[in-house]
Amino acid sequence: MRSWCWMTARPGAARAPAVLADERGAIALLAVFMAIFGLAILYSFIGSFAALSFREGMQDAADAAAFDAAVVHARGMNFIVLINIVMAALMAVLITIKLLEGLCILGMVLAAALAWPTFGASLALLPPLAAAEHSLEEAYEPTKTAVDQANGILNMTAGAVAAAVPLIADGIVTAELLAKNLPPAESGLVVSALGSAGGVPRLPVEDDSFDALCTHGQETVAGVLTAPIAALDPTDLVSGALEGVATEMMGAMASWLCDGGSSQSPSLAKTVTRVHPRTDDAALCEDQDGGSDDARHAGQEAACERVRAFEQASAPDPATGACGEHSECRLGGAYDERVYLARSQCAPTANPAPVMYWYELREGRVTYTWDPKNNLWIRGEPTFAAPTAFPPNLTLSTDPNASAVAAPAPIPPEAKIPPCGPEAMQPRVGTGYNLTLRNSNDVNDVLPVCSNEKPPLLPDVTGREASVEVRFTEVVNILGCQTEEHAHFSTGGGSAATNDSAHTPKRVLASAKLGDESFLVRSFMRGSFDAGSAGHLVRLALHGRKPPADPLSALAPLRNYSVAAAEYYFNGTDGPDEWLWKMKWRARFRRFRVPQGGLGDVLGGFCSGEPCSGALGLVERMGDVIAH
Amino acid sequence: MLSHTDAGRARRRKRGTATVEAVVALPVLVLLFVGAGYVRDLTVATHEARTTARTCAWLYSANNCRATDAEGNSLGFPAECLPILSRDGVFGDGAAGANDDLDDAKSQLHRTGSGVGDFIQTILEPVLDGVFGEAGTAKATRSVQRPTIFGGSTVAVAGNYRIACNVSETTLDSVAKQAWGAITNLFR
Repeated sequence: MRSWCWMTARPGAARAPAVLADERGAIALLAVFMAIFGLAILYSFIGSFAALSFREGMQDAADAAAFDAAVVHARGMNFIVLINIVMAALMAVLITIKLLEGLCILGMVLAAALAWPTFGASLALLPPLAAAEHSLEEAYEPTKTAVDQANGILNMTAGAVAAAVPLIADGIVTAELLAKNLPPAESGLVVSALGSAGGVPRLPVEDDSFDALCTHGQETVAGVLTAPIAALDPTDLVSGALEGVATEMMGAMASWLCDGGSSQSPSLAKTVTRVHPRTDDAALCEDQDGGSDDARHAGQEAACERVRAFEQASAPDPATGACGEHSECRLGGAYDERVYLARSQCAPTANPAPVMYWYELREGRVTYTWDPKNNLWIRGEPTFAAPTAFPPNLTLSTDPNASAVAAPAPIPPEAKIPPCGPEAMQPRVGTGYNLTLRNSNDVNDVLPVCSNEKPPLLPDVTGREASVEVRFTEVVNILGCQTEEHAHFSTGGGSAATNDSAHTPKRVLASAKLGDESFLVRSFMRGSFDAGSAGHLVRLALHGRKPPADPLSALAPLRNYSVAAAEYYFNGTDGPDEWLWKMKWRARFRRFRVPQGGLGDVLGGFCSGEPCSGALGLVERMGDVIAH
Repeated sequence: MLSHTDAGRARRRKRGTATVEAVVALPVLVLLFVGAGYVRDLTVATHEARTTARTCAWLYSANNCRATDAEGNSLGFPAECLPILSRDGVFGDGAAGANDDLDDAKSQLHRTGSGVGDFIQTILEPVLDGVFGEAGTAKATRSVQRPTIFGGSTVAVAGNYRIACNVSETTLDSVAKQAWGAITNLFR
């Protein structure tokens, strides 16, 4: 009231003194509290935003990492699809050759059948058709060899891609982290294909059957054959029907077109030179497929080792062909076994017949004495010169992986002629072939394989004693031989995903289902969010009292981690048989769920230490309740 | 115990204190108020930029990092997305470890020596390189007006999001075209 009076009494000039004189209010204390409160609110707001921003960034990083990895997996699957398609295209080349060959044969049959109504005019078609058929037949084998080789390598490439893709995905995420493309995450990893065989992550694929390759090869050929019609038929009605008919027809001829029937893969024919005697171990040792899994490889190595030991213990003396100085010469020993096996395996009547022989022969002389009483020759005890090996100084290793022949000089062409055998074969030494090695237990008592010894003719004067010395050559032992064989090697089709020797396409694992762990990719990111002194500041309000228990303290260690999941999937309606024949693999996000078996094994050393393992344990116990 | 004179002096000292206190406190409170508004603007802008970047990047990735279809028609991206999207080459130029893994797969291909093998290598190797794929990046920015009291001008905040381009379906036709290109390259 006093101020009011002042103001009314002396307006204007009296205002300032009134304000200065005003003693009501005392807002300083209030203002200080307001300022502190305002600052605290602002500090809290900034801190909350920083925390939210960090969590948002971490989640973005985890999402991007999981998705990146899933995309790489999808690309890997599409690449395997492409490999399958290329394999089918190569198979289509073979099928086309066979198909053309079949058409030539059909043409010849028709030409022959039409000979009568056309008064023989159609017979003019026979020679060109026969020539074409012959050319196609000749072209088939080398093409098949090349296609088989290429398909084997493509199969191995697909296997390598299946194994490499999870590693590539992890490598890419690591590179993204290093390039600071996933802030604020500082480190992380992606885990895919949990539960893969052997614990090693790989794309869920395995070798398919040869049937699938044959079928898709036929479809490719049918597609090519009907392509001109398809170009003129926008509705695909006619071309589609024709393609179906062509595929059906070729399916009926699958066993002929694909050279293997519907239940087994075709064989790869190769001409191989084999050395005999050939033990069972040598067959095991022979590296037929150029690649093998670990177990088979170990067995093969052991067999090869035994072959090498046998080779050493049975080696003949290169000059004489007799049992070598360091060889095992006892009855039933390695040398004995060698000559026994060689005698049976190197018979000129064997199939295939040897193309080169190695044998021990010796010159002998024997005296025949005429017995006039009984009118027969009595054979005396023969004497022999030192044996010699033919070809001389040759080493014919029975180890299939070693260089088969080692000779100081060119092998004489006579080595191609069988030393013993039927008259019709014109053997080099003598006719006949004795398969029996010996009749006694004396190691030195060896029955010759053959001999050119011939008893003398009747003496010109009967009733008088006469003796004749006969010289002869006999083949004491067959030491070895070489054959050229058309070996047929399986082109695979096994079910083991690691069977590198298969020449078949890949398919998705029979046990895998879209959406299951096989196709799931999880990412785990780690950052570091430092709340600084915020905790201490907040505790100031407690005035030194003990902080209340935090019900979520167990989850606190997880604040620096984020997780996400994505999957790669086949984006089509086709059945599993077609999943690896169409490049429709894509990636998408999935809700993160704790994998069966827990997170501990998955994360390994990534999230180590008691706080982290305790938090992970809590997450695992809460299971589905926690969503990222 | 104040004397009568001291009490009077004290009463005189109280005079005008509310005004002085207001003069001192108001600027602080104003600063706090304006600062809070500025922080709020920054927060919203940052969040908006991030959300925009994320949304655009996800849309871009879902469309295999293509803004238009094969005929050049727009795929209907939000208008604000188009200027902020980019597609940047293959992943991980520095992904040496991943490259090693890829080389292992490539070495299998290199075992093919025949003409058929050369042909297969020509087709498959570029595709194998493409396993790394491409990544799309969205860089969204927002401007925030800095209060004059804090110096004025505008402050830009950004939100970046980088994600792999999803995989588009590859048809046999496109493979055939690629193969044809490879064949013609062999004869050049």
